[in-house]
Amino acid sequence: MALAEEASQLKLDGLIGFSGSVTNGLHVVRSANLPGTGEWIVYPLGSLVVVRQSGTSSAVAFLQSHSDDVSCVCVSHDGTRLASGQDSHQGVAADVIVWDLQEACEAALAGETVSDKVVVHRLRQHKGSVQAVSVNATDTLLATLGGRDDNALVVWDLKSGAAICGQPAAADNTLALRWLNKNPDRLITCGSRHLRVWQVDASLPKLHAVDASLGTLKRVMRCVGVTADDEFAYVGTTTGEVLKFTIDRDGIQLPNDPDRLRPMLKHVSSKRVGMGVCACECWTNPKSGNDNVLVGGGDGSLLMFNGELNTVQNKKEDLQGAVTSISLVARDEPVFYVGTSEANRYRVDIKEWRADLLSTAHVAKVKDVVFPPECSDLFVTCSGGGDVRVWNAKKRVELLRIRVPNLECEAVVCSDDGSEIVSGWSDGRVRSFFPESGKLKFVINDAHTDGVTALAVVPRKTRDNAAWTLCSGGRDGRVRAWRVTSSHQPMLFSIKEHRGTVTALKVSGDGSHVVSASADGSCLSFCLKTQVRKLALFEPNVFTQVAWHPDESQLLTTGSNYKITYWDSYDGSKIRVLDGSFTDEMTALDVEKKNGSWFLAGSADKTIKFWNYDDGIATACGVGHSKRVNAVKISPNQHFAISVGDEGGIYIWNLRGLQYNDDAA
Amino acid sequence: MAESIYNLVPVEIENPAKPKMYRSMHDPKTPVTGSTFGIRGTTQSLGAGCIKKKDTATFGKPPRTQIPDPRTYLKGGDKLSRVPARVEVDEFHYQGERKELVPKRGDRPVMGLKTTKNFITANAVEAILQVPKIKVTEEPDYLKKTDYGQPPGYLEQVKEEIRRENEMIDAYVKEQMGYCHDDNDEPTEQLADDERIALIKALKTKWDAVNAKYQKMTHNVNLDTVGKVKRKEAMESELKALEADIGKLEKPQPIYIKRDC
Repeated sequence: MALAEEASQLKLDGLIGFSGSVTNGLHVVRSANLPGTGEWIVYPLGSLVVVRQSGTSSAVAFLQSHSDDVSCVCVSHDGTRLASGQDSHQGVAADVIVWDLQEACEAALAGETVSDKVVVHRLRQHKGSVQAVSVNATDTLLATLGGRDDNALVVWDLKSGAAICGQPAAADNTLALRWLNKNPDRLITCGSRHLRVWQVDASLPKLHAVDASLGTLKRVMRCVGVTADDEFAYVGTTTGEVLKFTIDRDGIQLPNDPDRLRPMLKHVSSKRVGMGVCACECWTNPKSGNDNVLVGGGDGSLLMFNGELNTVQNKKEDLQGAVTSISLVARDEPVFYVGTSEANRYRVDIKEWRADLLSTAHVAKVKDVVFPPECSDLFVTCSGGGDVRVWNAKKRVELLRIRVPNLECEAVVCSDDGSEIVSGWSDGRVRSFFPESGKLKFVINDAHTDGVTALAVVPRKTRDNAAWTLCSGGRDGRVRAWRVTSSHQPMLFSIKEHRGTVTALKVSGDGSHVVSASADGSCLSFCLKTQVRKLALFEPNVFTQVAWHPDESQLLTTGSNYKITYWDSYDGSKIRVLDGSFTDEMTALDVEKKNGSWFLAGSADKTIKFWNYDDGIATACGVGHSKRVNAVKISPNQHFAISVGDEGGIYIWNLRGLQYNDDAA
Repeated sequence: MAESIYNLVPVEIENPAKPKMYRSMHDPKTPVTGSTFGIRGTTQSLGAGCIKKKDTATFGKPPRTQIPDPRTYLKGGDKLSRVPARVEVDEFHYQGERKELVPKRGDRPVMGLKTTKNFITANAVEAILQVPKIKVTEEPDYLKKTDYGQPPGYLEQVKEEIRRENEMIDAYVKEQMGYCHDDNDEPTEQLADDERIALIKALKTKWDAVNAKYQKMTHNVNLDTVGKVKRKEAMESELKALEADIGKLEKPQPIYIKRDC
């Protein structure tokens, strides 16, 4: 009885996360067909597609039917349909899902989870991955392009979801796909050393391609934009040039008829963008009616080219990460939105060419999250991308970023006076940083041989003494304690009792005991003074997390056996075993600190559950993560909780209503 | 100064609440006493000073500021104090039973009261006249119960449960072992008597042949090679098997056989 029958949904207060590496993943939609006022933002996050109303943090809907990471997203022109493709294993079907965006937006406004009705079609044709999806000008046809191994172009009827026709996209790898703006039967694909203009005849049905003549030019074309009058296409290449093509062609002809019109290469830009062009879009100047090209580079540069492919003066901005998506709300809108591979989102004003940073997010797996002691306004996260970030919990903005390239940060804690952020790294070092400047305070070299995986601060009784004690656990199975002073950090002791990775360390409230959970199936408690083992819990299980009940009479553990176990902390006997999940291992745990009447547990099955401690019943379930949950923490004021996961998302859950219910009961 | 993470907490500047707009309790149209502002000329703005006083006046409010309202003149008897109308109020009466009065300090208890009842005779009379209580000691007649002599109903239930369980187990075991129900239905037929006799005859002939061979080597007691030992043993076992078969066929009951298709 994991979940109570009348279990409610945990309310999501905020979400920090964006899969920036997805090409053309970010879409800003304004449509009369969508409910509410203002714009809706659509972007992928792991295997989810997130739909949120611009300017609000609460109107969010998660579309979660993909089985793996989302690889491409597109929105129909009338704003009613959303199509997204996904990655998959090689040779396994990769789905394209067509969603009802209206329904999703309404659910977001109502604050409900989206129902199954939101999936309109599930199109299963491609294998391995889906490279691109696109909807034609009249919103009748959907074209999907398979990934590297599939490389098939398939045209679908958007209304019925029936496949109309399909064909291998080209002899070589195809990377981008785009319908023309006015002609609903024509589309462009481009990729390695080719650009093809296709004519679709849905009545026959037939797909017919004409290759553009490239002459001697050999380029890998990554993205394509089309002018408003369908006359030219601008194509971005991996070498950093932008190419201009005429794209007019003959219709589908008889085999013996000669070609009269073929797509032709017109221009090659003299300017080269660093690390290749990653995104390119056409923007129509509302004053002159001319088409300009917005170009995003792999080095983060954002430029504007005119129709003759010369750079426009003063239209250059350097952003962080490769510019992977450029989203125009309308063709001649003076503002557009940019997403980068560093998971940053910007709003760019065309006139002043000024990029305003809208939001940032973690790029890689978020491994841990921690609150400074007694402070709910800030929290600290660390990620596998080698950075530690401090966030403002109210505004959800990043306050500080500390980067250590090419390493993974496994654990992070705050010292009890908040004067430093201590982190454990995959190179076996413990690094401490100043929290305001982000400068390095000290490094403990070779703290653990294969990486530091768990950290805990021993609370000081008085603040008179500047020295304090830090406990660390590593992949080598050792538990060590360090006396941290400003000048040096000697090791106090090293305990070699575990055979597997130490996954969690928790110090008791009075600082006398430390309990360590390990992947070898043991959970040991030591006296910090004498380093004597006080307690040993064994189970055929990979312990992932351990927590004290606030009165320290009981211990809670989670592990790979899908269970949450209550242990007597005096004699180490099992008190109660709960089924935390029926499908996957339990990974995260945090007990409420005031009187321990409830706790939160996260699982690799992508859910967070709110458990009543005494009843052992989960009364609420939070759905939103798209991969394994790595850590969950309750804010010191107990108004909200934060969970982080492998997809790189930080989820802020509202806990207020739940506790009021508890008080009433 | 040492760094602290708490310095990152955004300081919320609280704007003090704006007090209510000040409004004077005085009439803004009243001319300012003693002001010389705007006293010249024929037009006077609001609030301008007004020193129009009577030539001989030395104190008091300026003229025209205390013009009496003709509608609120003093009426006859206005200044008499009004006596409020008399309201009929009922006296309070306590509802419900009242306790007995507490004895006064000077009250004396009544002394020397004595009953005239003779308790001895009264009790005796009461005891004599008492009618004995009828004690109902009738036991139910269990022999007349409807289910007398019947096994209790729950036993049937238990039996039924056991039977169902056994059936289930049997079915499960059969399914696991791969038996199919058709095995029982496979046709068998009785071995014809002449066939049986022919079989016995043939077996006996075979026994003779083997025995003859066996007898030819029984003289050899020095079994020095493996071959010899094996041969002897093989023959012995063959003979024994043949004897057993003959014995089986010679038993007087009917024999049922299955024909392989």
